[in-house]
Amino acid sequence: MTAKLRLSGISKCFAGRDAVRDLSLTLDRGEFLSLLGPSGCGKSTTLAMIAGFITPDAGDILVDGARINDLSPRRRRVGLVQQDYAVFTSLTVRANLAFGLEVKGLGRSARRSAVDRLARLFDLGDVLDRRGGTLNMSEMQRVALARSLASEPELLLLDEPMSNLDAESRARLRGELRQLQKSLAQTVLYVTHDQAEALSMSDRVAVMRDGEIVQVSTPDDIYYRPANRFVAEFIGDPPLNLIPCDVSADAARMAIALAGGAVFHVSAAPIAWGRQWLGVRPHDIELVGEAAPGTVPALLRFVENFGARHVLHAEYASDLIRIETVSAARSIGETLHLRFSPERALLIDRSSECVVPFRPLEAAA
Amino acid sequence: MSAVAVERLRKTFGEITALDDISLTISHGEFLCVVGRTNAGKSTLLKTIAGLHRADSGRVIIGGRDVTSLPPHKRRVSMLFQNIALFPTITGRDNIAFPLRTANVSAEAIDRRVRSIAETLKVEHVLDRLPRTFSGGEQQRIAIGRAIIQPGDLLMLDEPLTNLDASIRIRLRIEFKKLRRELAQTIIYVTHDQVEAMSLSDRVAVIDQGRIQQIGSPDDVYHRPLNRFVAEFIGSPPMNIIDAELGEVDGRVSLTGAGFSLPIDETDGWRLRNTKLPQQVAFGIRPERIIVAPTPTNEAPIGAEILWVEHLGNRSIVALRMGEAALKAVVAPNRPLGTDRHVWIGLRPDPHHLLSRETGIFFQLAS
Amino acid sequence: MLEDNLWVRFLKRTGVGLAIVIAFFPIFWLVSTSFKPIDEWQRFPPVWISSEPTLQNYRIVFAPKAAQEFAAKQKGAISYKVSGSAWKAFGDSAVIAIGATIFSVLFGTLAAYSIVRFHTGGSSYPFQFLVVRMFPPIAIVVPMVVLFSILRLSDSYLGLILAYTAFTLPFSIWMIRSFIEEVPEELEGAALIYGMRPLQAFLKVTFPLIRGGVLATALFVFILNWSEFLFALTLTSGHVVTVTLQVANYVSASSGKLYGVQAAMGTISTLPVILFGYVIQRHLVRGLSFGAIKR
Repeated sequence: MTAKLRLSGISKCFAGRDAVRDLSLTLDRGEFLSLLGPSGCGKSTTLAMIAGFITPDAGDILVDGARINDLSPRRRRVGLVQQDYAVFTSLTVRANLAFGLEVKGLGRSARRSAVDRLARLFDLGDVLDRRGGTLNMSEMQRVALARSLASEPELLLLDEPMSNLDAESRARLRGELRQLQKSLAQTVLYVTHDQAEALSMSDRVAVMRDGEIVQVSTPDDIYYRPANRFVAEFIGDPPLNLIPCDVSADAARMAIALAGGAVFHVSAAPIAWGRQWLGVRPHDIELVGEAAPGTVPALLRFVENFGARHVLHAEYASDLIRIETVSAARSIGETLHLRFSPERALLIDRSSECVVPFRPLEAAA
Repeated sequence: MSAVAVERLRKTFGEITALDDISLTISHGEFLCVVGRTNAGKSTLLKTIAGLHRADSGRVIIGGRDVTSLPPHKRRVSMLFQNIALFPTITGRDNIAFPLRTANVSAEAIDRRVRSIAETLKVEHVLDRLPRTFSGGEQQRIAIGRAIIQPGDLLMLDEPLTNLDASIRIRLRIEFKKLRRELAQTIIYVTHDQVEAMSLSDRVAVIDQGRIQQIGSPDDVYHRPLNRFVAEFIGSPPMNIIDAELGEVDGRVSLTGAGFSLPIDETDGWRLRNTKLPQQVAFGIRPERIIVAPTPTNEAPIGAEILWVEHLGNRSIVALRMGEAALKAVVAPNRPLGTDRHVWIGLRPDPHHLLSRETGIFFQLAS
Repeated sequence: MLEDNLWVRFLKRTGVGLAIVIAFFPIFWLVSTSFKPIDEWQRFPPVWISSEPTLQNYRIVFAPKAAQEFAAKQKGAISYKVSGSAWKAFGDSAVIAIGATIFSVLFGTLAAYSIVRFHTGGSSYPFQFLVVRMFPPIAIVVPMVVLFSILRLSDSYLGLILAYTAFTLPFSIWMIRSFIEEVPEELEGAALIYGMRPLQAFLKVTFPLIRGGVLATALFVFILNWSEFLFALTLTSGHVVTVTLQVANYVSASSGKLYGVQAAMGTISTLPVILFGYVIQRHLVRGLSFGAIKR
């Protein structure tokens, strides 16, 4: 079965800089795929090329197997919601929605009922006759979404649609948008810099950096099996801790030693001996009451109190590491005793910055 | 004597009341976060304290002086704006030095201060370039430098992290915490993101529609919200509010509703009896206090249906429907929830989290 | 963009070509005529480019006496009388146009700032200004003449400067307003908080950012003032002579129809405007700003 969207070797250069480099990606029918990356990584440029506003320097864009590079945006049957929504301020909401229907050439009454259906779907019934310029951000976003879906596009492109909303609205809309997408079985390409959005909403996540796709995988894989340091640090809130470690060999197995005394024995892995990184997620660190074999000490410097959970920032191995844990009374300056478990830790090569898989054997003291 | 006091401040713009009779006091060296939705009045409050807006009535007292009628440059405050507002035609160095140059401080003193601040903020490498060549984080740090170079009575930050990428936001938030330790200043920090407010502040002021809903420590506003707005605004996902009836079941005070009957602990039960409470109430329960299990257990006896699950890596958010009520629960990541949509949940209501259906205000229990 | 076929491209190019020809033809004709000897001025079929170009027309413009002597030595001396050298006209126009431009831009900037930052006059105020500008000048010429005579401003430099300022002020305000709106209020707020007084903040922070726009506005206002004819005609009676009046003088009952001379005067009077434009073109680039504002 042909993929709904296929990007093959897409490149674009602006003013001597490579915005997008040899990018290839496939998107299946009904799939929700996020393009995730920091500002300037090329994700919006990629979207603009798919929409037809920018011509790629090289590469093919195929929708349902057909090459669309030479089609004008009008002819491409893609829907687009941009960051600033671009709701027509002088038209009513009704007219805005009808705009999206124009391409289908419906009669007046068919158009009207289609607009009403969209309004119900997006809860816009109250504002149908208000002018676009009088809406608040959240309403504008819904109008922009509804308008883009009005023409039943093959592919819906969303460019950071939540970035203009309150944190509160964002958290609420994530789940709703995803449910809507599922119920419509709409193929969606979603661009964002927010890893929480990408993880919670997508079927797959494509992480981009400097114009290239660094890893494409399910949210689960991206989180637990990142390919390299960049992905590992970019995904996750609070961010991953990078702990310096010392790798040495011991017959058929390797030992990973951490400052403060903890040592793990692991199966041999393709990594050079000496100083490397161990990536540990803040919620994978166990807090123990007192020093014990296998624990390391850390000095508590800050506490972030989020009500039900605390994020502790403690000094360990000349750096601050983050520990996520349940709330409890703690005092700044106290010594914490941390236990790391090797099962979910990531071994990261300092020179190549790749994540090296390994298998832990039973822990030693 | 407090560092900052605002007394009954009112500010209207035509028909719209932006600040509705606001009063608050801030102690020396305190970090106060003002948090609320867009257009709740947060920026207006900041600008009125700074003197960029003139209040319709009320007083602003900074460092013991009544500054209500003073222009901004006499108030000894610094401000960090939401869109950073670096002067685009001058270098990073000149931007940071601006307040001192306007105050006619000697050139060598200025030079010394700028160098020291640039070092702390790690912006030495952009000092001699123009703002349009800076990255978002660098712009932010230069703006911070400009705000702190001349220690005043008050430092105000207007949504400084809002326009930045999520990943930079997380990092800069920690920088703020570190910086805060080095600055002995009184700070007001405005944001719409309650995560920032909880993380950074000594006290949080929740504001809505020009009124302060509650001021308290992060623990206060999280565990003891005064009204429904605060309960739902602080914490993500928000506190679940469920309608129920308060009555006696099998001799124990209980909350009953469609599909559930929740007895209250005896120790709290008699307090509830002693407080005059209506029969029709609502109760709040935080998402992490909902127990979710794939099969019915003693702790999770109530049937519910999973609408969807959001996996965030360090936790998962489960959207549930229990009868008529839509709830959100937070569970540890990778908890097996069964493939079936049907689950069992347990709710342990906190008697301090009963609220009135009409007013939305939480009941204060008799002691 | 992507899909223009050959036919569309041909149409587009022809269309543009035609527009260029139509726009530039009068200028071409003007310059060409300014170098034609008298017998070619009104010939039919028209002479496109003169076969015997001459500088006589220019001589008449700048040094009528010398031109007269020269003509006397040539064949077919024409008798004509012109009202003096054009130097006075250039001088008078310069004073009036520059003066009126400065006033217009100065007051316009201050008014625009007040309208944008302090919402003076309410939201429809700027539009009211524009409506004033829509009045056909000829409709108010007569009252203006009467008013000027009462105020003793007739035929005076100040009078014309005030009239021109009043007439171009709405345009100045309208244009400069849009430039001020692009400067975020927070920038001035920052200047105020960090120690500046409002006027200082405006001069040191806001103005550098709108300077390009103000200069562009000044250029357009200067063009309007320099080429204005109606008020110059009706509000003066000989003491003040503008370039436009001088040009008109070359085709009159007393002088006859000195088209070539008129063309020469016309050609020369475009030069100051071109010069002004060239000098300020650097400042028309609004690139320096807005790099530090995140949206």
